[in-house]
Amino acid sequence: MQIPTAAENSALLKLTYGPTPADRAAFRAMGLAAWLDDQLNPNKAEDPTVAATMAKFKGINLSNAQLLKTLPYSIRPRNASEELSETTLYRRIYSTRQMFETLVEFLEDYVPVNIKTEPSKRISYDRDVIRANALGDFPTLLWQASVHPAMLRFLSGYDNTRQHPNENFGRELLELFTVTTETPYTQTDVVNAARVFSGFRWDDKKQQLKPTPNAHWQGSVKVLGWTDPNPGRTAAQISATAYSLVRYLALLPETATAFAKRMARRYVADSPSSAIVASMAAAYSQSSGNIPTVIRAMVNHPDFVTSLGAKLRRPTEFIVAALRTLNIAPPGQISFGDLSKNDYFSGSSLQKLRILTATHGHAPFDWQYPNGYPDTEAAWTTLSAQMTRWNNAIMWANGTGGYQQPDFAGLFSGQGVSVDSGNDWNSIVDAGSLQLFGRVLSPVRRTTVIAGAVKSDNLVRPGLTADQLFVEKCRAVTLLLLCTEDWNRR
Amino acid sequence: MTACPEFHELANGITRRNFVKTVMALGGGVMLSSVDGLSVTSAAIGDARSDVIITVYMRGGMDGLLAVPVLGDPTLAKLRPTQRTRDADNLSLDGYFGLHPKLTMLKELYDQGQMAVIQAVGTPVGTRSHFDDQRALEYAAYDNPGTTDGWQNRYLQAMGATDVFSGYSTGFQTPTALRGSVETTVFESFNSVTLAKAGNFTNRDNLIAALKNLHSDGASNWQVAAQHSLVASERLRSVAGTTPAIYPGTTNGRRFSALAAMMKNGLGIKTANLEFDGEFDIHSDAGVVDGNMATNFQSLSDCVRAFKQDIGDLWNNVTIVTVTEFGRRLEQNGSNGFDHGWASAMFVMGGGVRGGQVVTKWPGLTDTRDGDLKVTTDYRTVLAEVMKVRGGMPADKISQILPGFQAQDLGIVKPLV
Repeated sequence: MQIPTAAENSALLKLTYGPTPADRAAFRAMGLAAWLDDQLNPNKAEDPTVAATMAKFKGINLSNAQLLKTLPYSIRPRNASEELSETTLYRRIYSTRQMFETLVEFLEDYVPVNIKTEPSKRISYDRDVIRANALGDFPTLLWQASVHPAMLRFLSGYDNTRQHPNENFGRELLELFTVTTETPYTQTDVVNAARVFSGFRWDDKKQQLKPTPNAHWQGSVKVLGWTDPNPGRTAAQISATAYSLVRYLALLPETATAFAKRMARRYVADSPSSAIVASMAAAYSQSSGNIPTVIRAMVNHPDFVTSLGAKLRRPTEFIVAALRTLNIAPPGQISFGDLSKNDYFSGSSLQKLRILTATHGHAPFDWQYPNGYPDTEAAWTTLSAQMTRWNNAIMWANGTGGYQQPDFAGLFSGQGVSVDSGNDWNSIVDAGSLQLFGRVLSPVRRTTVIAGAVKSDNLVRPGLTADQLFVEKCRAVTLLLLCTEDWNRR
Repeated sequence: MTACPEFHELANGITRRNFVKTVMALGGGVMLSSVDGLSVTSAAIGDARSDVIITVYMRGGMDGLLAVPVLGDPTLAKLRPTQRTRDADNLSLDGYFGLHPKLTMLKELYDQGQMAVIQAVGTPVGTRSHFDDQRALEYAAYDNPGTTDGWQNRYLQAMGATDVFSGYSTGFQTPTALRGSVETTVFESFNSVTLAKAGNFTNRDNLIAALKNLHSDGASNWQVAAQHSLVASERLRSVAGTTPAIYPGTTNGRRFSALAAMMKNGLGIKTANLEFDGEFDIHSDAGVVDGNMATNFQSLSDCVRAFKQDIGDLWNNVTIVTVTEFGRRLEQNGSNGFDHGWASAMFVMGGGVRGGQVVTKWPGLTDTRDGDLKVTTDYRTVLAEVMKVRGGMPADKISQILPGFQAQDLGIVKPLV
């Protein structure tokens, strides 16, 4: 067995949803730079099986207009949001574009629209705004998000009029999406930002944005250091002013810092050092907000490796990583939809997986507020979180709850341990640790795992063959390793 | 930190407001000035008689004037031509203020002297930002901006609480108010707090022992929390997880019933936070009669009714305080909703509440801060009095829990007996 370097573990544990043996082999063959290039290549081909599976779903491949008139989404829009949520989980497990999928989650938390908001348009928001720009520039992504019908609905954009500017979006544009309250903007700035975005309607028939002059607040506006005459007499003028404001805000150094801090909080540490934030912010500013450039600055900073283990995996990452690492599928078969059922995906393995994420309070894109799911350990360390994680570990290790049995013999032989080779407890724990964490446990904790594992009742079942006994030892060790803090961190 | 003028005004207790004398029960109006001499007998810290102090957290910014409307006010009618309830439907409290028609249980408690209203109350600064104002509300440490502990955790620290059930919250995340050095218990449902039948560890005790050993080095919060989780889980096994039928079959009903079950089982909760499941961020379509806000208030009323019935005599040692990060703009916006504002209203309920009063330094609806109802009572005033009088917390400890804050009692709760 080969002990991975800290650089490999940092990259693969932080930039994927849990590395598989194939990910590790690819990383070792390519090296960090080439692996990162590959993951950041917007033209990187998706795994053919994943692509074929995604093609079989109907809703995620339809336009807004088609969704509005296509069964079953037209009569039960929830089917659209569930399809988006469930296919997102599928991609997190199986996509070979792992870094991209983590980035989609990060950006969906950054500029969130709750998934139950206009479900038919929410699919387009994910596909045409977030995914289309995740390997591009943040200012462009933010502009497209700002005028997308899903966001217009979520933050009251439709209701924002000349007579009564609705401040909902204008405030969050400043507070959450760009400069944050680290920058002392004023209520006047908020009102003016709202005025700039007043009158944005959406034409469902033509499926296009409809900036509406008679609902637009016209006249000179100032937000922080930006001013504009904002004539607003034509749709083009309204759009041009709004675009100008978003570009201005998105390219401010304060936004660069805010973006850097938030990204470092996702990938590096709850409280990232000012050094790595500064380095990433500089990359943001120099590249006019190019997301891959910021990621490279993050990965190339020394903190990226030294911080290994600093982050607690959030619940859904915990789940997806387990399925990937144990090489087990969601329980049952994927359903691509059954028109005879009101609940279109009823019984689908991916629906069961989505429900599991909901029992952790972390179903994809289902946070109620525009600040995205919390991303700190303090928020997610609760009684129910710990018990639910341990219960999930029991379920996967034992192959209950509809999950298949992990192929323990296969997993452990991949780390050089089998029934025929050395299979003493130390070897089994080391192999399991390498499989799960990419490193061996401290001697103390290894001893603790063994002391616990030997108490597994399955080990003393009468009549076990040598093969069965080996599997039961692997099962007991895997269960406990999945319960360790090490597994919950990256 | 620099504070805005309003903050200084509040901190110094200066007021030039026209007091509305709304208190009938106690005669002559119990306003701030009239309770200065109120003598308060504080119980000892950890006094077995001390109340369970419960916050009901209405995240999103609850409009205090939909909850507690001014009756017959032409200014309010002008500001809110469509988004208000009719005076004929409002539940009058004292002829000047009323309650939203759906808050029937709160009206009953008010009439029984077990519910007090604080109007025009809120955070001292007020940024109109959900997230900044929620953090401020929960840290409650304006003079100590570097703090990472929430006020409810500092309350537990001050009483020397160590038991994992001394602090409890519903939800999937630990609220900021409860974060800090005292380990607390947070869970969303009873389904998620016990260890599953363990398959290859048929003997659960063996698995539990292994989990304890795996989390024994105390090197991280996760390790420490795990030890507490295992203990808490075992103790919760004896708590009936069934929801009595008296509760609404909603998330809120489940949350209130879980708290009741834990209290009835004597787990020793000192303070709890109930995350209220509702839509308060009503930028569009406030739904004051039969929409969002009506649903919110109906739910609050129904849950409090069931909770009181469920816990029986324990009600005598419960103080429920509703909190929210801000109220909303006085004037309705163009989309039948309300944008973020400043002052809101708080409800204080329980067996020890000096109820039947609306306590306010009423600023009126015309002297606003940029269209917001002004905060004339700092929300910490309410917390401080409840902790001191009903929690038995000495004054010097209050200043540790609420650093830099000089408490001045409002007379909203009775001494412990």
